[in-house]
Amino acid sequence: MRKVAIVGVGTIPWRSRYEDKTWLELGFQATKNALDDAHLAKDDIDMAIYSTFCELMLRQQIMCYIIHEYLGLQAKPSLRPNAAGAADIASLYTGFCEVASGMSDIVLVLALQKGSDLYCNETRSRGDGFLRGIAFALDTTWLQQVVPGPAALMTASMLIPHMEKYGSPTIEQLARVSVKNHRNALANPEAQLKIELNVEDVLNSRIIAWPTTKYQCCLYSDSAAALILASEEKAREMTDKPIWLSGIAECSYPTMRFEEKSLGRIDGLEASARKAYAMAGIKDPVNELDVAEVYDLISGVEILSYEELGFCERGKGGKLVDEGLVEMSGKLPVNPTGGRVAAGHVGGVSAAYSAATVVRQLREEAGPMQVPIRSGKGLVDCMDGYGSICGVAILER
Amino acid sequence: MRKVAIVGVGTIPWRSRYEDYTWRALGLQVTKKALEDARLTVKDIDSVVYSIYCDLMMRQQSPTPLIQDYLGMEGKPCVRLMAGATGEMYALYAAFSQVASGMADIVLLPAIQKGQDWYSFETRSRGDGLLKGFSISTNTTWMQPVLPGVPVYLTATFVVPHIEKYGTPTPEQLGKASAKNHRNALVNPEAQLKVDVSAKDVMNSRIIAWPTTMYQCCLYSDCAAALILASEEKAREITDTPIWISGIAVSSFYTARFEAAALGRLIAVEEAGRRAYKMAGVKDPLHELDVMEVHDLVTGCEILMYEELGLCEPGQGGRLVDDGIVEKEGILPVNPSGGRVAAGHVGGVSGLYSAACVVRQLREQAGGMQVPIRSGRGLVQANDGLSGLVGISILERR
Amino acid sequence: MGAARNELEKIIPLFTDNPRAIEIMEGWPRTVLFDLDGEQGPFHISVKEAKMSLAEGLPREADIVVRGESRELAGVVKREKDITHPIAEATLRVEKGKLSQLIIFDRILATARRKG
Repeated sequence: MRKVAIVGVGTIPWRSRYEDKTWLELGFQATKNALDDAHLAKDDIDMAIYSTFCELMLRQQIMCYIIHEYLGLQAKPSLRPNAAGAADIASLYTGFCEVASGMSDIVLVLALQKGSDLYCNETRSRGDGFLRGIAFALDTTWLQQVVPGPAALMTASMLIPHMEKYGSPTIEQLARVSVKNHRNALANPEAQLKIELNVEDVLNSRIIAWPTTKYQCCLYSDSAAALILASEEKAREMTDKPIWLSGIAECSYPTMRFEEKSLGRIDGLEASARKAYAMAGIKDPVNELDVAEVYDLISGVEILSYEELGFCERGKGGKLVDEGLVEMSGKLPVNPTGGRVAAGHVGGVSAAYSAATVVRQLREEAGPMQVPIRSGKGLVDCMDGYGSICGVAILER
Repeated sequence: MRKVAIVGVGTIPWRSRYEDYTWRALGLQVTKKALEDARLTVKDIDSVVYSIYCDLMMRQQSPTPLIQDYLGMEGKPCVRLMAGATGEMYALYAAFSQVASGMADIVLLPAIQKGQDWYSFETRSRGDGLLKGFSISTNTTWMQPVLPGVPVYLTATFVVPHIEKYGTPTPEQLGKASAKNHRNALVNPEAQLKVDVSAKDVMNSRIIAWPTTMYQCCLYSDCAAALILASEEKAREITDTPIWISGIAVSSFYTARFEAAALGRLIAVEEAGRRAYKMAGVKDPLHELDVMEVHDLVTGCEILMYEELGLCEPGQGGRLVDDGIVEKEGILPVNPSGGRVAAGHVGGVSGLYSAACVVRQLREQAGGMQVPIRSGRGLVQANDGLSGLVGISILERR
Repeated sequence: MGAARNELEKIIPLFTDNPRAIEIMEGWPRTVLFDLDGEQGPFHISVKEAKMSLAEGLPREADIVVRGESRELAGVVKREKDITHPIAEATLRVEKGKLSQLIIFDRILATARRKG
């Protein structure tokens, strides 16, 4: 298996809506930024991998050949992996296999999504239009009619059973994670939401599904992010700072998560982490990782993720918040970009964005968001809104 | 790069509609069959790569996490490849990469699609409902409002310009090629349409877009198919007849621009073909391949494909039909299964079905469809409805 | 009686207990006027309440009007050729109504000759 490095990253600011740009333009901009970062031209790309979680929202059922042509990559191979909201990690996984196998030397992984060209006439809201759209990813026979939304589903099947079992996270701990991420976003020039919040603000915001309140929920955005993967040989030619994809794994878990063993858990995340750590040779994540970007689709999920990712024992995730371990000043900063509640979120793109920011962290090019780099290793995780597909990637300098 | 083999195949009959099975049930059937064929169990599978072309038609967005546990694949990685009606070849490519890289040893590749739970009230036809559904796969900004349908597009963009340039394929050659496939399907127990039509019957059937007539158009079906891929080490443990994927390539060339150079050419086929041949070390396909299964979405495209795949010079494809070279008894039988016009077709599945057919041919388990196996190599080709996305694979028995 | 009318009179009874024909006719109440060379005069086909009937002369109102050659229509009814062929060759012409509607009529004709 050949080694695979990330040699270029391209991101654009997160916005709740890019009214004046089509999805093609967003993809183009991110790709251009990535090629510039890698000092490459489009002809250097051997293959393109497109990550889009929901093409229907683009009103274009087969999107890959259209963006492929728009980018000027006609006739070259392309792939488009899909894995519900975890399309980005699935794309990174597919890109990794492509280079590791020797089938290609330089691969573009482009994640893009516009979700906000939808509209709900009833509530006069784009967000609600979007939510209705993503509801189709639930089992349309059994779940769609009864599940009010991903925040509610995650709260009910993951957060509350965990709280019942361990007495944690407490509502203050949940609020503190949200405060942390909103504060971190203030230093992120690409973040969608830049507001200073305190614990009261978070707890007093609209209840979505108790104890999850509005400021604990991820944003809805339009965005795009691109990564350029290269084989070891090419990477060493191109850059002094290749960032290696030393571990990557993806796992699926049942969406009808109401079995005893799954309640209060994000099992796919633990399984993915275990495989990715094994591949990267990581035994003690808290001490071996310098930074982590963890999907906080709701703040509760971030805290449960600390446990699933092995940062602490089960039930002790809340304590990491109290101890400040996951703050910018702590041992293992989590979500220096602001995470999904403050930087921005759309399925199929966020993990690619996270990977790009972790690359910048490891290169020590993260500007005001920079955390200390000691071991040179970072983690990116990913899950879809219903926890049924999870993935973890380890990046290493 | 590790070598990759196909060690199990599972197919079910093509039907215009499986009214009594859900998409999950179809997926389960072919998965079971593939596992039985390979003599493996669910535990042996490391990773699953799906091909499902169109969520909408199954009224379920992102279907793949929802079938993982149904198939007993809970906890395993799953990725779904989408590339219009050639998603299955892209899935084959991705699955190949997973095994070739070492990330997985045994990969299950299910392809599922139900297209016929649709209905057009205007014309009281399921087929028309399906066609309307397909239209959102075309460029919804520029093409969908003006495109009357896939066969029309293919005929206008590829077949007619080719005829204008070379004078072929003639209506008779088209009739003969279509008749060939319908005749081949008569001995395919899984074929959807078994009618013995003559070239004349084909020419007299409904004109869809001259010269393409009804019998020259692909069918519409519900179906599923599954393959199991394995690394060399595992393959040799599992079976005595691993069928190696010695070449595989995908290409994306979208022809909506109607540039002169692109008219009458299936450029993505040539491009992918060239790369697949190179990887497999094939220099003279006409003599080095024993069998081919290609996507005849319209018969004209099958004939153009002979040229793009290097079986003959440009403009000479029709001659291969006249000379009987591509008949079952010919030097290089094309579509002994009946192809898309007679075996059946639904996006996301057909290419894997073609691959399963070629695997059985090379294993010499193709029953009435069996062609002579001399060099032990076969080619599988699939493309989407606009021939903008193409996947080609060379399979080999050694 | 010309060739077309002759053939139509033979085929119409085959639609009576034919479920596929009925399914199409149920959604297609139309009157088609045929004014063809080689016939003694115009005649019309009415599809109403899932039944097809033929009557001489002009109807009160026609949804579709077809002119052209009787023997061409006869060939279509006998399923020697599909209706799109005489249309393409202009030996049958749709002078009122849409071709796509006439194709539905052709589909009804096809049901009588289906094998199973």
